[in-house]
Amino acid sequence: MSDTILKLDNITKIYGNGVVANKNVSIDLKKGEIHSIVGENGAGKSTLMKIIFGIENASSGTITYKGKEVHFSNSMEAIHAGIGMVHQHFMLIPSFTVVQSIILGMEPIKHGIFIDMKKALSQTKELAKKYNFDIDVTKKIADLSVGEKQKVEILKTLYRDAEVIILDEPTSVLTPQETVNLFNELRKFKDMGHTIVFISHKLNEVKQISDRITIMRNGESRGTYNNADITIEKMTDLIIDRDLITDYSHLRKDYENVSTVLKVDNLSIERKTRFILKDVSFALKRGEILGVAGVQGNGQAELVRCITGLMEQTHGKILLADNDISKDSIKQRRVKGIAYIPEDRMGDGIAEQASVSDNIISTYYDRKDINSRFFMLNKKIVAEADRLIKKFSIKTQSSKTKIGSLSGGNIQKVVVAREYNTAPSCMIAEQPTHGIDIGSAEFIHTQLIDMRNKGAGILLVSADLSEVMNLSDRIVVFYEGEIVGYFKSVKGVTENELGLYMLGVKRQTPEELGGALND
Amino acid sequence: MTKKKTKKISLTNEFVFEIVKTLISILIALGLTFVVIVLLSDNPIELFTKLLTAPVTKVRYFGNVIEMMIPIAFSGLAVSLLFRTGLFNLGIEGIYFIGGVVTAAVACTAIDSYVLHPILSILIPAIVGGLLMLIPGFLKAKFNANELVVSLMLNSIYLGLGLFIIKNYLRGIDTSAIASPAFQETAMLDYIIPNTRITISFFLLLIAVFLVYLLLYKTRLGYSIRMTGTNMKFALYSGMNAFTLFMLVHFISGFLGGIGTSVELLSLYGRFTWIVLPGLGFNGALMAMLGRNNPVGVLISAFFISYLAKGAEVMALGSDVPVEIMAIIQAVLVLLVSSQYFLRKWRERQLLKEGTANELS
Repeated sequence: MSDTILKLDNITKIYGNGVVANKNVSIDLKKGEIHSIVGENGAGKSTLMKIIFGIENASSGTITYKGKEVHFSNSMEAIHAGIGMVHQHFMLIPSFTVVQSIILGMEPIKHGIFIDMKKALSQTKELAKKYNFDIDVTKKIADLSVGEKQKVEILKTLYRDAEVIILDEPTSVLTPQETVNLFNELRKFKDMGHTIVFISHKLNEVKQISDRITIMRNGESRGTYNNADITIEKMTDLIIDRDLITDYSHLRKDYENVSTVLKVDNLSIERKTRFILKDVSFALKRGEILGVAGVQGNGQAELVRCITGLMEQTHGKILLADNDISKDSIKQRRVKGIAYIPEDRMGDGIAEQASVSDNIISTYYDRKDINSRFFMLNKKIVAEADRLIKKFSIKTQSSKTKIGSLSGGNIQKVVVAREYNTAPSCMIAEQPTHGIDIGSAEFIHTQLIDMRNKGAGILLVSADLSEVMNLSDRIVVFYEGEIVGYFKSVKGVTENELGLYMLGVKRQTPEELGGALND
Repeated sequence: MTKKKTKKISLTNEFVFEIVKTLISILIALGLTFVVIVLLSDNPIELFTKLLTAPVTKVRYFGNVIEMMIPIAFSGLAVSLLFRTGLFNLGIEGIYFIGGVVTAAVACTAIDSYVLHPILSILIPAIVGGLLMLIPGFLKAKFNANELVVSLMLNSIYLGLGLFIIKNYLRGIDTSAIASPAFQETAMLDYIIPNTRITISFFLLLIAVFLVYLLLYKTRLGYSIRMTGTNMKFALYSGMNAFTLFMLVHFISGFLGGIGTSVELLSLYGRFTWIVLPGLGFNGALMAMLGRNNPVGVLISAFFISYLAKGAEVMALGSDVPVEIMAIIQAVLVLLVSSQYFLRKWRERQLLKEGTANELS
């Protein structure tokens, strides 16, 4: 086809640890189309994009760009050829201004060695105007909202004359309102002749925006379809083989004992000029899941670090079953009943180079039943690990396998199994299913509900609104370090409404918010 | 069926790969050495054979290999514990020097017992070594001071301090050199194998290897060492106490260093004669690296390097190839073994083949 701009032919990628990420994937991208690539986490979408962008090399297969076979050995070559990528996690320097960020690496030069800031400024302004981006280019990155940062990333690719723009899960960080804006912009780019590759696992968004859709599963392509020819139901069938559970209400057991397990009392973290957390108060009861919604970076992570003991608050108290634990060490808090599923799975959650069994006991490795006076009892540890592997259906060759070679979903199951195994009274679950496959996510959700039914209090911090809505009994919304919204029940609350609180557009009265502590 | 097969392959893979990688590194290093010998010598085959076989031709030579191995194996154990915890601390070098001075002080003191005197002459430097290592340990644990910088600075300080003590308080009057007085005869360790200078220190080493192995792989402390070493953030998150751990590891490491230096002096020296850093501690870092921070690995590396060093020494005797050839072997070995990327492509291709084979079956 003459209007094909980028063609992937039989791309296979096998990673160093033997994981097959892509298997004989062939896709063609047409000029001026919005082409979605969908599939669940771990289906190989991101790897495929990294191969196009030159970050990874394909083990076999060819890439044809504008009729010529290409081998990008790094992203610079891909950028020069006209391919741009907006990563899921932004690659921006907080202390730079928008202009500096956009020209970084391709600065206009004057007198041979100096950066021509005047020219840079006019060029960037012009660019923003041409694409109708409403953004102040002299602002610092640190002062931008998430949506604006994404605009800067997109402008960066346009500044480098990108014809093909790859967006990796662009909506995962946006509120519903910001998503609408983004889609309008993408349609504009399309009309101007750009090719957009839209990677997502949110099918309704894909259906809204795409011209064509390629479906990935287990590293393989399951076909490319015109948007008009495929329904969301059909897509779901191709992505997974069975029905999704999104409604957990039938599993939920009403819990009568409503004693408070965790109380956060006027917690603040103050930094030089601003509050990261400001007078946050809420109570978590036994047998409930309290959802914490909010755009990432509004203080939720710091709240969690304070509760678990990884960070110290400036003011305020944390009470666990009426005992002040504000000054306790991480270990003491864990012994008293706090468990924690961390957001940074690979950084905090596991030691990649260690075995599954080493990882699955790390928070209670000194427990009596797996130790003698001097030694750790290897046989008992292996038995315990095997039991958990079975209970949590963790796919691993054995308990001695290096955890780093497991899939993201199975790694997360190890983390959840470990935290579950201390029988905590208070579980802090931070982005518990972020970036893992649907099957594992569902499993973890069921486990959390099971723990709730057994009387644990669960604080669920998640950027995924549907996760918060599906699991929570009550919800608080964070904005700029404060609780700005409180919902006694998820019934009747829409994602859109939560979005307004997350953006700071709406805010409840102190009386209404007091419910988080007193209900 | 297929599941069982893959299990077998991937379980052994990592371990086998490391061993294969080490063996290939050794072959390349020896190959390069051979090339150099060919360039330098008229009868390369004979010299090369000597390099490889000389140590086993005489009991005395083999004894020398063991003697050379002991101090670098002790320092290797000491350093490997630090490396395992993720601490790049090279302070064992300084501990060897100052520990040697302490050994001299104890060994020169009159203690009238052939049992108590050697025990004290080993134990006191060991304890002092452990305590001195607490300095970089504390600075790291409390203030997160860079342990490499601190330990290198301390090496210099211990050198100066040690020389000051020797010159002013522990100077042997029967010698013109800067050295301690001769050690008391009661302190010296006896040779236990005829024709060699191997002493009880060899058995102390084997015990130390065994104990470090137990410590690392069987105890709670060892578990937290390994977890902290692979991912410090993870250890912290899990509730392990970095402060206590760092202090303990530094102490044990210094303790082992103290033993290493004292048994070296009490076996092979009659008095303390070092006026520069002996290099034995730095060599320990090499052993730790070659031995993958595994106590048994450290022992094997120390033996292997000592073996080659002795071979090179014998070969150089009365020939046209200098003993410095050893430096080439060591350098190439360390380069290849410590390189993350060496042979990685090859391994990936193997995995690729295996992966596709599994897919097909």
